[in-house]
Amino acid sequence: MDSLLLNFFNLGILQQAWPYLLKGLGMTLLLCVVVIPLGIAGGLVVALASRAPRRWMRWAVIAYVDFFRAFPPLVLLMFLAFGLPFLGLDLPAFVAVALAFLLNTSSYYGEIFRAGIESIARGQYEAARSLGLSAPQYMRAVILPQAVRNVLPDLIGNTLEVIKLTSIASVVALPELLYAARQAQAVTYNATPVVAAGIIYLICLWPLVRLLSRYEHKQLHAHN
Amino acid sequence: MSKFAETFFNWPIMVQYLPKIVEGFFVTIQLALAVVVTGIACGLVLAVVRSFRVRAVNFFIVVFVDAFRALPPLVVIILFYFALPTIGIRMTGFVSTWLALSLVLAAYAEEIFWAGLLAVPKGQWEAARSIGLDTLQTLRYVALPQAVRITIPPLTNRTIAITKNTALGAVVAVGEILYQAQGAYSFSYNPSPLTLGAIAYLILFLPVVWFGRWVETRFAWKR
Amino acid sequence: MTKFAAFTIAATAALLLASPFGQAQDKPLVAGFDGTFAPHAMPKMGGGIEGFNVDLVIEAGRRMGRKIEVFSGEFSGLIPAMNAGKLDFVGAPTTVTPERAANLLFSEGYLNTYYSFVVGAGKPDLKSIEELRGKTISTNKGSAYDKWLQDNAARYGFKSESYGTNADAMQAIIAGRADAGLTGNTTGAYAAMRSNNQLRIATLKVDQGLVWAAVFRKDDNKLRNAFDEAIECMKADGTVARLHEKWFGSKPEAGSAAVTPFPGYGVPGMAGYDPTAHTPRCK
Repeated sequence: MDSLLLNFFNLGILQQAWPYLLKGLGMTLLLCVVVIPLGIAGGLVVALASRAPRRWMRWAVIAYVDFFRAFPPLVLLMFLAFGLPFLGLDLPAFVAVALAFLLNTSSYYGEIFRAGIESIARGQYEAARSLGLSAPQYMRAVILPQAVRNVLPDLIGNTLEVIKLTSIASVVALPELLYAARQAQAVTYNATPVVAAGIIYLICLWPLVRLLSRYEHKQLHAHN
Repeated sequence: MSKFAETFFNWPIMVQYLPKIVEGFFVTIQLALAVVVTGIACGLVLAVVRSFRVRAVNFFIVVFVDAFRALPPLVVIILFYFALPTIGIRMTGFVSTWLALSLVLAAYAEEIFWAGLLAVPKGQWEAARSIGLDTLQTLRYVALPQAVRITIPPLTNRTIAITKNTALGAVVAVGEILYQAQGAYSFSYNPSPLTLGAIAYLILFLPVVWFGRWVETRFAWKR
Repeated sequence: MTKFAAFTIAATAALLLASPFGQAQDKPLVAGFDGTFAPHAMPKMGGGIEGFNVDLVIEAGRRMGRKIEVFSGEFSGLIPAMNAGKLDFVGAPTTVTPERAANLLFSEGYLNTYYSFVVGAGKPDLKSIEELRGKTISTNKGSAYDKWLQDNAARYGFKSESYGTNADAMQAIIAGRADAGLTGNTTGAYAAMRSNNQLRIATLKVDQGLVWAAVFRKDDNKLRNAFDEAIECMKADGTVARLHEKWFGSKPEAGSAAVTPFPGYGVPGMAGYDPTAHTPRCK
């Protein structure tokens, strides 16, 4: 028990590391605030593009989505962070991370939006058209709101995944929460900072998990 | 254009490090399979236990599931590998990664199986009881077979997402693809090994993603 | 002078200053460090890195008349990043080996180095290479130690595990995942000192009489030579010795690389060495 306190919950070391961890948390939040809207926007574009009239466009979208769903995000991140400079593209770490996340998350969000759009009954389209609405108009006013409502749990779920995904940026030395915790661990030779980071993630994300769980159960009962 | 080819597809370097990448390929497969088997099995067991509706046990199941859905997998891996030893629990990089990812998959799988079980109409349970089946038998012959239809698409998706995290094992020195590719990159000063690693991952996971798509269409649940 | 002429001259001057020609002198040099290689470069709790090499390089930059922009990343990515143009040079202590010298340009050595084995505090000492048989040795990915371990693993029968950071490699020893770690003399000593008695330096070392130097692109003689001159000045006036004492806690030995300016540019006996005699203009 004693050793647990000393190694995992060492208050002295926590005090030392705390400002560093907070800075890391700030970077994590910044990353989320940038990446999530970009990913959602990208996903919408992908979903709408998957309904393109031309067949080759539809196939291109499917290829894009499958490619980035098969590519592990950490590998994509390393590829961009280490490989792009060789092409003369010297991007700051944050931009490389954001780009990797955009490519990865837009394919997942895209699939979710696509499923949502496809779940809307044909009657809605016909009714909207018979009211004289053009495609962009009925997409925006009729189809998308319903589609989003249908897949809201999946959207929330995926957003939760993206927030957790930010932790891999620590591997390319972006000073987010996990990176700060590991640095603090290296300096103090004590695991407390990493435990603290875990607890911070738990506290921040647990409400979202509970919300998601409630939504999922509500949807199920709605179908029963 | 040829500079691009020479940088990212440098043939001599790729040939030199191919054996290492192949080595990593098999480690990744081993790790991924292990995670899938234990994760799904544990998730199923937890969902079954939950269906017995013992309040105290269910509380712990929910806490476990919530925790492992809220924690980033990399944090769990690092805690298992670098933090646990300080209180005497030692695991290899492979075991740390396997255990961490299995627990995460188990948490998600439990939720998915549980959702599937809840979707089975109550009438089925009552009918089964009225013909004398106990909970376990009901599960086996009535509930689970019906639940499976709902669970397969989300389960496949979730499994694919989590097995891709095997790449995280590189951080704790598991000799999988990324670990080998990174090492080769740092000694050759050339990103071609990373290209090779990326190709290896695509060879491994594109078929899995295609399988997932096929499964989804086959078990499509019209909302 | 007409107002128009004055305006034109002023505008041209402004354009020239804003152009690459004007900027060249003001553009900072981007130097790469491994921020987990204490005490050469290590994180400050508030962010950023500090250490022997950080101080050394910033001071050398001052003498070259250039500002230094500190870039911190995994060692395994530094040299490739430099070759790709992302960094101007690598300020992290890089062991000068014949293999590396064939592909890169080194400055003259500023510290002597040997490879040191680190073991867990409670574990038995390592005295000979044969004792490594069957053991797992951790190290920093892409380092000279990593290379040595990989080259000799089959011969001596040990297994090597490389981590993204030297700090992780040391942590692996503490965690009992590795029986020992291989790192540089100064970093091993520092880790042992700061680890709350969890690490110890072993007797065994690999001493090939090598030095640590800064790394430049193979064709970047101009920058390398400028850096060399700055370092020679710093050795002559005792700056390097001062930094040695500040970060390693001891004065450098007489005749060691830290206090001996080497003739020519680069490391004598290695590829890339330029024996041109010169006297540095020291500020």
